[in-house]
Amino acid sequence: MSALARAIQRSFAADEHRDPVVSAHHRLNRRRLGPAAIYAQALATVAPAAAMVLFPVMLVRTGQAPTALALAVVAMLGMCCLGGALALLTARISASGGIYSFATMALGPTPGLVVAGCLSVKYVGSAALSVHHLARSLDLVADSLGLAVDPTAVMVGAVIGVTTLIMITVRSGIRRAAAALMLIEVASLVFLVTTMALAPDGVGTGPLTPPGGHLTYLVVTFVVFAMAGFESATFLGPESRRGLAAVTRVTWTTPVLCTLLLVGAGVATLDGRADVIINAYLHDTSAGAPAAVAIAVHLALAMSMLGSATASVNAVSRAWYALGLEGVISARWAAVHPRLRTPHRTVAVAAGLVTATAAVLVVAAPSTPELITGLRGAVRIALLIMYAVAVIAAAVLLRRLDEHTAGSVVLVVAAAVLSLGMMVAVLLGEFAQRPAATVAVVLVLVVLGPATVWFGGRRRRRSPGVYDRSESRDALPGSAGVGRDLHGEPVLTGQARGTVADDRDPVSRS
Amino acid sequence: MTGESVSTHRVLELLEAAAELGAGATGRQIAAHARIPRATAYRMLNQLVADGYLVRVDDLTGFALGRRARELADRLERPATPPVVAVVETLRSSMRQAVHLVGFDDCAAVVVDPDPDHPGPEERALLSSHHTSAVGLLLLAFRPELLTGDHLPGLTAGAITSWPRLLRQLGAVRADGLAVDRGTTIAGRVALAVPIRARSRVTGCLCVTGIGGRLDPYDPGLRHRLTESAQRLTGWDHRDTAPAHDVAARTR
Repeated sequence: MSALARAIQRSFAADEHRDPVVSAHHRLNRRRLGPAAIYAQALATVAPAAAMVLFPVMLVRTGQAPTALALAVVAMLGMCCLGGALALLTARISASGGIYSFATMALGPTPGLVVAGCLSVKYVGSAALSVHHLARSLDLVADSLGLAVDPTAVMVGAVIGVTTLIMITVRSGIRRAAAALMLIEVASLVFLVTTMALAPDGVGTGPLTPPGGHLTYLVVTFVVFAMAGFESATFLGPESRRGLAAVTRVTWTTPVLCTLLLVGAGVATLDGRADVIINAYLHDTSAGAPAAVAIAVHLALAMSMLGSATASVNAVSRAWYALGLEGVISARWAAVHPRLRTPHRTVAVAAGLVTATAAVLVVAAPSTPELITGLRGAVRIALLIMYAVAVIAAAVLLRRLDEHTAGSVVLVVAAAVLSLGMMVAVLLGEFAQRPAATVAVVLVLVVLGPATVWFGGRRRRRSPGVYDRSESRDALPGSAGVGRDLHGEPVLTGQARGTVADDRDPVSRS
Repeated sequence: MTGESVSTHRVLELLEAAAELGAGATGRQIAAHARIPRATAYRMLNQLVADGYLVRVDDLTGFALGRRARELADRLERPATPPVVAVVETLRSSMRQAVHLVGFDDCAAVVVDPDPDHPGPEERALLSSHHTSAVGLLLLAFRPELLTGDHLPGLTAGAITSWPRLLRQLGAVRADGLAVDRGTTIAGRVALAVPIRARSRVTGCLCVTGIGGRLDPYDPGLRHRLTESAQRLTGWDHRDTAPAHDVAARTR
């Protein structure tokens, strides 16, 4: 009888673990989400529909569209490599802390805290910017419809209304939120792709204001920011039905899908098919775009931004939930709603922060535009630091597991080189425009933030990098033992390595 | 093998390796034990963990069997009898005479599958290990260690009773690759036995018995059918304790 058959036969008579191993994430809606929900989360955070409007605008404003597109493709490939490197981690680990947990497990608590700070700035900041942009789009739609209302009132109302909607959607359960996100994004994408495909070419664009800054900096920052967010799928690993497989597939395919969409939008820009979209976005109807198209473009943008903000709140709430589970922040933030099984407190706080930040932008940005550019810069820097640490985490963790292959080494090296290049380009560009602010942001994210938490003296309740461990009920009875980690938590363990199981029968031993 | 069957085979090899090495074996150890390229093995191991057939232990470095491995119980324990049974039944359906499947132990023949349509003491005698029967001659021809030099009793008038003649007969059996009983065990009854081989030893035989005049043991068509069926059973050994294997598949 084979060893596998014997193990299976033995399992029917073996006892279950007396002190069973239970995942730290067991109170969440564990293993319920299908792959569509994971895709919805990642795509919504990325907001490819919005990128398909803004990318052509960026290309034509540079005045060097072909060169900019070529540079953008290189940056997109870099993001695809990043997705591939992250997928090496998601194939092995499922954790609500997502990219924070990966960094902590691989590199230790301090780099993990750096990532936690960066992802908090990234997701809250980008959600606030998205809500602000959405409010502006709704104001433009109101203008297009000839509604005479105070712009500030419209925008503040939009901010509050949108954030309330976000909170309701996210708190009502991740599946409903995911369905809403998918609907929003797909509808927007269909409209934009159809418009570009059917639009006459060579319409020409209205007057354009060239952006400031070096071409490489402009292109790289746009692409990185436009494609960022695919990693938000990593936060839903424990809630996904086949977390390791589904999240991995989403993590590496989402950047590829976005690349295809953006390259398509870029080609449409070069042959003039995107002119209608560009005119509608920049000039409303004054450059010849039909009113219906202008309204539809702004609405598509607004809906995509709404999806992005919702998904960002989803993601960061789970990261904070993981921090609460570990004890890095107060355990009250690890509370899970008993019926909805979502981390409702962190959702509420995230939505509140997004509201407050977006409201400040709406009220103060007209007189202080540096607020928006500064926040955008901080988000970009945080994003690139987060990605750089994630790539290093992938390299280190695979080395520790002894599961590197030639392919994984090549992928990780490519991701590291490209992400480092992008980080240097963005940091130099930001420094050139806002030197003091750039240095301050880096110091806060890399040094002061983690140090504050570290020296806060909070005692961890669990091992750093809590992840969705295999439970006793996942293991074949009799196949794995139970041990204790440093914090006394039961964990599944194996036998001594390198030895063949002792209970082969004499026939098979010969 | 098709691509899909190669993947299935590899998956089972990985699970088998994980079971043999025990809980805590690393991906590298499992890949080496299963003799599968590491990149392929790591990808498949991650899929198996995602599907619940394996779990990661020891802070992700080791693997153990997952609860879903139980679903393979049916597949592993189901006796793969169809090939052996099918071969014998096909042969039986093509002739009116009795067809018996006999296995060889270390020192005797064992009737593993007697033809149910031809029971009785005469059949049992024709299938005995006696030096006069076709089965007995085959056994002695390929297990010379069983030759004792003892007195050879003659059961019928034509039976061999001298050792020199028996040894010549056994030589002819080895040369022809089959043994014939022309009424030397029971007058008027004939039998033809063809060896089944496994691991370069004769582990049994297919034996056809009948009435003299109705069964011609020298009929080329009969010999061909019997030999071909015995070749399809190459690898069969009635003493195998593992779940019955697909003998026909192993010989392809």
